[in-house]
Amino acid sequence: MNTNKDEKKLLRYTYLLCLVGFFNLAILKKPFDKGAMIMCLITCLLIGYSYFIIRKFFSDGDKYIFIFSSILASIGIIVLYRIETAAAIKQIIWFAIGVTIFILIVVLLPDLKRFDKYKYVYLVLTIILMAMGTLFGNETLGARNWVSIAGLSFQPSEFGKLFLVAYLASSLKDYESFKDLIEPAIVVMVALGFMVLQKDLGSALIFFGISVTMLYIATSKMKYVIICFGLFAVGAFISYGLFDHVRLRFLIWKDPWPYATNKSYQIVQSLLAIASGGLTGSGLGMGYPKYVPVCTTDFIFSIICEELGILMGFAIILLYFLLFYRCMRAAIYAEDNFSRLITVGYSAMIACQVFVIVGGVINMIPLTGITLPLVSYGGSSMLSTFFALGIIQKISEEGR
Amino acid sequence: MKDISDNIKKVMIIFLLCFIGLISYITYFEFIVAPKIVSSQYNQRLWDKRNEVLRGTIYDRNMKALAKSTRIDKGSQKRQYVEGPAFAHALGYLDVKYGITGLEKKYDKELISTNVKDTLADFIKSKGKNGEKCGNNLKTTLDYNLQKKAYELLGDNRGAVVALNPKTGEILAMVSKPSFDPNYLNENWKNINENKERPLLNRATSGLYPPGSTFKTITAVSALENVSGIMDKRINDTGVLEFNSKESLKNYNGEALGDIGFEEAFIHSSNVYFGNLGIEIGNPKLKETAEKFYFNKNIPADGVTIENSRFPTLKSYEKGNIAQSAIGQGTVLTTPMEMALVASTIANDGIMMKPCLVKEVQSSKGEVLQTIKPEPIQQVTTNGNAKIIKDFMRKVVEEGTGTAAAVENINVCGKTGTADHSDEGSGALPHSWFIGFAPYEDPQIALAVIIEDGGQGGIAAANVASGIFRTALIK
Amino acid sequence: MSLGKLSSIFAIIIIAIVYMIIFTALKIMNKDIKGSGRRRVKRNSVGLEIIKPGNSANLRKGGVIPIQKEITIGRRSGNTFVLDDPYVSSHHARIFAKNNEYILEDLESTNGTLVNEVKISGRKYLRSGDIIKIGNTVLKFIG
Repeated sequence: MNTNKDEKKLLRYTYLLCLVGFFNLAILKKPFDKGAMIMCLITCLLIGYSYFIIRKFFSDGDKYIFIFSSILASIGIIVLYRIETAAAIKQIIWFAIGVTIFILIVVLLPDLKRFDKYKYVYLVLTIILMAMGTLFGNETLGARNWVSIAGLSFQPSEFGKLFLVAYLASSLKDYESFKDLIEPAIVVMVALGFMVLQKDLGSALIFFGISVTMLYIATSKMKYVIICFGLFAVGAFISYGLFDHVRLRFLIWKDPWPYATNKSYQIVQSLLAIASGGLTGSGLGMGYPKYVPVCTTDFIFSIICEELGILMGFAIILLYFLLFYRCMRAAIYAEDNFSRLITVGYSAMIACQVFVIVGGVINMIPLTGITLPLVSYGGSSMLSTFFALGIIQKISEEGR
Repeated sequence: MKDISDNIKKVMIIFLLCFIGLISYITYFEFIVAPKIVSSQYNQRLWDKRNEVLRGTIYDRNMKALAKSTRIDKGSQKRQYVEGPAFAHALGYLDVKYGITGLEKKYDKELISTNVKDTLADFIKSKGKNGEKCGNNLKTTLDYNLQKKAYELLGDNRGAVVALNPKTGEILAMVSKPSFDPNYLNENWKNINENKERPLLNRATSGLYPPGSTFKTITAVSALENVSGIMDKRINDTGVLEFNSKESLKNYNGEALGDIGFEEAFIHSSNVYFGNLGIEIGNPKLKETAEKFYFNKNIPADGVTIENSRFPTLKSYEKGNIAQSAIGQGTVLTTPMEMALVASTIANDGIMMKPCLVKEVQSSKGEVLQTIKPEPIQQVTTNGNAKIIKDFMRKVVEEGTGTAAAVENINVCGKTGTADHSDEGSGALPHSWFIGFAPYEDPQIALAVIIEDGGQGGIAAANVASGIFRTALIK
Repeated sequence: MSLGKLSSIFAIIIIAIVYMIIFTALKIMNKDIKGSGRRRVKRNSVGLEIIKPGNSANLRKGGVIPIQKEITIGRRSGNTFVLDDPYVSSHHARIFAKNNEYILEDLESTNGTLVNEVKISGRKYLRSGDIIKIGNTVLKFIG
């Protein structure tokens, strides 16, 4: 039971982080912002209570998944509070709902193995969700992947991702030879096609990453991976020729400076924000998020780098990697192929997402409109991430 | 699914490498790309930071205000340039839309920094309430009266004046015409930017012109160092130097000066003598001397950026070109600042001083925070050689081509230049140059004047030089 | 002290805390990787001692059957521990580990499974010394 002590230690550090972070925000306003301390209290209570429930009900699974997620989420809430208090409050609500989903999955869901039969259900749901964006979508910020139903907007592709992984897991678990790959390959290509049509290139990249990872785990054959990359290159080339929004992304990636006042405004401001931060940043509240567009979602990483420095940026990347590591570890101890593939799929989903958005925001790869999981403001993102983490946690409970 | 844990480990390593790649890219960005882009004009946070503090005042060397800021409201300030066009190029301008240039840009950081001690004292006095934070002030080396006079003397001409203190390198005046009024950038931007005469160009430091006969100063130094017996060398100047059936080099108006030696050739500016001398010295050695004077090199300077002057590399059979280069024609190009440095080096016994525009950085309360000390760049030529040229230059103004530069009761020294230039077709008049220093016994000021299309150096530019010397030295 | 300086100091503190978290987490996980080796050794000492072999020919009284991770008990040949006994169902029961505890699960057998003379339904945690009766076979859990 001595793992308990270590977890408690990490938890205490998390509380300390919240305390210091919110205290910093509190003293920014004269004389003292009580709202920040209330947020701190709520956050710590949420985390502590959830941790307690998880420990109580199922003490078998990997507890670090929850802890790392809550650390990332708290950083997100702290920074969001600095940018816009309304966003932070909404974020805490989404965080609470997300954690609830997480716990419910772990507590209520029966053994995951039983879900491997519903391959075609997943297939249909995936196609519907991907297509929803193209058919009913409203164009926001250059991508057509938001759908409003009854006043609430959500991104169907976020949830589509979840079902895609489930479909691929149930389809690949019985992999024996090449012909088993044809059906999933077509599905993936169709999904990617929809994403490109919806101008949601980031999701397309993530799907690709997930599919290749799952393919490799299922088949252990490097040559399929190489073929996939080849197909990707061909696909990228074709879409570059066909779609001018793809061309635009490449144009502003290669040299953003000539178009700094219009086309590449976002990435230029993001780069300037990161450059102005330095190693330890200018301090919370001392930066200028008002000059960085979409700073609560896509560019939140730039704001963090501006105010808390690139050292913080590194730390966040490391935290994501640790989270990824714990998730993949659950896959090793899983008992059946379906569970393994689903774990790998969801872990890759989170890791690829981080890679795509951080890479885009620093202009290492072309910019795409993706959120930073758990940290960015956004209900769809938070819920789908916690759903995935919940499944992974459930699988880690079954294993060992 | 065989070897599941092996596969997973491999996948984890690949992702780890990707993340490490991400971290490395950020590091590369931070240390290599970031410093270059932080001061980009698109970085509005710089403007916000600049606005937090009331920008410091720029003064002339006698503490006369040249540029001042007043606060309009919490979000903006207005910069006032006391003399507008006369100081526009030296000081530069500051505008949210049109960027920052000149001294405003070079000393931007100092102008918006506050002195920590002062801030603490104010903080305690006002008990933490918000007082106006004031940036540091600059005391430049410029002389208000001299700069105004130089601007006035250039009249309606295009050209530039650079005046230095030869002993310290301090820039006493730096004028470029045509100019513009930095107080009215918004209203006049279209005109200023599209005007064919390019008023935005700082001709003093960035205008490249053929130096004409003023370059003979450098050729003379090169001769003293490389041609033995030069002091006694005489030729018969027929007014023309022929290289072959097609190419030849003439004196001004083809005037034949007859039997002349080194000194007379300098005083009366004989192209034939100096063209010949160029061929005798040879391009490599002549280029070496020019480069000692910082041609083809970045001139270190404080508060200004100087465009590199150019001296060509020629082959030994290109006699015509070599001769042309020795008299400052052909492909030789120079800035007025460079020629002013040539004059000041001769005046300063052969030592070139680093040109600087700022004397002191002071806190808003007047306390001196930083003093910029005079710095020699290098010993360009020996004291002895410099003295010989000094004497020659004295005679140029006493009895040679530069008599118009004379000032009563003061021993002015100099060299004229009438530079042919081919850019506007052969119809345009040559540029009028004058470089020099005064007084001979103890030089206080060295200068270079150029008047584009001004005609003979001994007339237009020399007259302007005379007026400047008078203002500088007769109190 | 200006707000700017204060904010910078806070930023450094926050960064330090996050790195402490990362560092602590790495240390824990490192311990975990090393520790899992040790735990495996402990597992090897868990087993079922045969008190009464029943009708099975392959069992002797006093023998110990080690439990690595999980064993299944039944009459069918696919089970880890085959009991050739008419009162034993084809898939009778299973014993598996959960977080260092062992659980005995009755797989809806016809005649049931007894632990310490009490018929169990579904799962039950086992403690060292528990007597398990399946059909005519009696086993003792050693852990």
